[in-house]
Amino acid sequence: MESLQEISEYLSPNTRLDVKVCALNHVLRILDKLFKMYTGVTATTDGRELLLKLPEMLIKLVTFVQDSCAAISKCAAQILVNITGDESGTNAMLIISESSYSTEINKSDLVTQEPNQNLIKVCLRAIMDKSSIIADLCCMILSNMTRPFHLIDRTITLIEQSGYSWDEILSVFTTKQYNTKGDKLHYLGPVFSNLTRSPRIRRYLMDRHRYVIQRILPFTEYSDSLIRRGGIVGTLKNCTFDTENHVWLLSPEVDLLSYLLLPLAGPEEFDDEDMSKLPINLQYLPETKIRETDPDIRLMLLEALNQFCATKVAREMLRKANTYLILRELHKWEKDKNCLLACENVVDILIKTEKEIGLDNLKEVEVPSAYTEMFHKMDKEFISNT
Amino acid sequence: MQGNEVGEKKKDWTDEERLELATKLGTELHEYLNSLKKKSYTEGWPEDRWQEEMEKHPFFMKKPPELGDELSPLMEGLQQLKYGEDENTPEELANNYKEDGNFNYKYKKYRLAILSYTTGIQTKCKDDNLMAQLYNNRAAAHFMLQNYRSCLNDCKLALKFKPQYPKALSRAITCSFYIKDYDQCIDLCDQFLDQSPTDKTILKLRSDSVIAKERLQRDKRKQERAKKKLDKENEKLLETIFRKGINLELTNDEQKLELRDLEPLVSQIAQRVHFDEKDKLVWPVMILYPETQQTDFIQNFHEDTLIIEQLIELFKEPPEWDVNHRYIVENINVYFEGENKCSIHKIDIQLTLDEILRDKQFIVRGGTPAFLILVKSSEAEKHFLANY
Repeated sequence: MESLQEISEYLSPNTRLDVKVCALNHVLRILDKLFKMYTGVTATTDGRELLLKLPEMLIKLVTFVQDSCAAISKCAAQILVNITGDESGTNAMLIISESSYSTEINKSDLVTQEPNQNLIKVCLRAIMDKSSIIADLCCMILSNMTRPFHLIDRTITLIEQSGYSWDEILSVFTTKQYNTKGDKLHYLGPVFSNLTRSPRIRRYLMDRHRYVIQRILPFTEYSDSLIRRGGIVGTLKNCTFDTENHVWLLSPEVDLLSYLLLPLAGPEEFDDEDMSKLPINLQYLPETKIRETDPDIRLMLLEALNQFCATKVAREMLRKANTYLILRELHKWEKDKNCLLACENVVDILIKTEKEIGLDNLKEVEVPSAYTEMFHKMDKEFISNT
Repeated sequence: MQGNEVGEKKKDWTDEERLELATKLGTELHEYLNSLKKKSYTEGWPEDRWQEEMEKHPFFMKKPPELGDELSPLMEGLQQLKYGEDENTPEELANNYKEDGNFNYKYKKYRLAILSYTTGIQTKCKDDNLMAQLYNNRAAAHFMLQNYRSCLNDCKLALKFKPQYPKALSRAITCSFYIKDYDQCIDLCDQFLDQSPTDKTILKLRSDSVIAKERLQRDKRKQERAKKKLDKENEKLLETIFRKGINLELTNDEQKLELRDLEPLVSQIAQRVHFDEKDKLVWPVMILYPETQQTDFIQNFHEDTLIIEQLIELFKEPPEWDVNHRYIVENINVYFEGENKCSIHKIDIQLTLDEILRDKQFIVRGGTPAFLILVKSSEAEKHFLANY
């Protein structure tokens, strides 16, 4: 560790190039060793905790991410993915990023490529850079840093101060092959999924005067990446929690329902009358149509549908779109217990008439804690039995 | 002015004096003119052709000179000034052609405008902005002529010279919508919305595109489903007939049963052999009466129906040509012709159609089994059988 600190002194931008290269090579070897410590089968947290006690070293790592030498920047980024993997690491990197604002707040350094100790900004810069080779690693760092729920507002503030707009970030994410070096940016999916737990980002995503949420909808069927698909479905699910947006989300303007149902639909054939009631996207699916393969994603889709069951107007729209038909077929096919339960929950509400339900918003029902416990127990039994 | 005043004293004229001087000058002028030698006016336009000459003058011409017309020297000079490569840089030339194009466009002469812009583009001038404008304006002219594909191409070229050029981008969006390239339309909309995220027209076009695209895809899926279903049905039909061992006259030499072998050759038959809802075959059948040269068509002859049942049905009402009522079920024989029409076979009418068709001797021609009916032991029957 000490040796690392000593070497880092040689690593200021003014150091003679030959000395710098020599020192960097040395650091690289140490970093490599550290990295193996983290990722090896016998990964211990010791190395990480040692690093967390050395803010200077963490700052240095952020600098290395921006190094012109590809191997060094990649290695540093990889280590930072591991460091931000848990809450304490993320917290440390947030503090460092925030403190960088005491000295500068302008966009000019985005252009000048000066080394920066604001990790959020450094990551965004790499993601926006079409020819960056660490864009994917930076997406992973952001995905990690947006995960702890109680830190999310601080992260959002840092992103908003970075000089990049949400529009720009989203556009990079939805552009096909934005990165020319083969980085896929799939991990921006989980980033958005994490971020939309905050109402701030949901407000942005569901701006009715713009086209935001609509841009990510096609990715619910994105077969190339489970990460991206899962991130998008998670994002959409988070958006369904705002009951005041239900009608808009289900309107033709967004048509969210068809994007939630499509991954749940199989190749089944229905008669023309049933078919015509389904959303257009689900009509006459080919025999080759397969359902979402990942049970976690299926569960999120079903939970999103369940959110729509909270309000009367949304329930009626779901019934009108023949949601039941898709769920009935899914239920015949589904093997995963959690998904089966979630599917039944939705169907149970949908098959009831509004007269039987007698409530506009089910979220307003107060459930005594004794019942809550009982329901949880019943759910558990359902999942473990049958 | 001052100098004059100093040099001469101004004379005060009275009105009479002025009038007198004017008259005098007038007379002198007339005298002078009269003294001139009379000669005809030669330098100007000839009196009989002045209109024609006037038309040639660039100031007065009513229509632009057409290709191959001889140009007046004045016109040529002016053209040289405006269009000569020695007089103008490529940028100036391109700009001149752009203005020509805009002029034509303004007067709705879109084809001429396109020609002007094209010439401007051919200067390959170095001004990217100007090149973008030329392509964009030509795109606009193409748009007015509803040449949406050409318009789209020009918009794309304009965007090459000037990325994010809003006019070109929005026109490209409209064009891709018109030519139903919805994927491209949505892509271009997103590009546009990156710059102005709240543009209502483009937002509307984008959502219209998404809906139109979904409809298009749904229709395609529906078609494919229907086609697959039909293919399957056809396959099953061929397979069933083959399995039953029914002989069919084949059109190709490879001894492979094809759908076209089932197609009826006569227009009186509405539908070829098909399945009923219980997957039983229903055949179209032709009945011939050699004696009277008459023909009957049975559109739907179920394979499990006995021949006799169908005959009873057929002769319930005696045919109008059968004046003597000789054609009744008890009084007739039913035959079919064997391969190459070389043989004739009497059938047992107590059998079903299916059983008859499976007969090794039976052959179905033109997808339609045919039977011949003759009155038992009649002259006609004897005569007829003698042919084989």
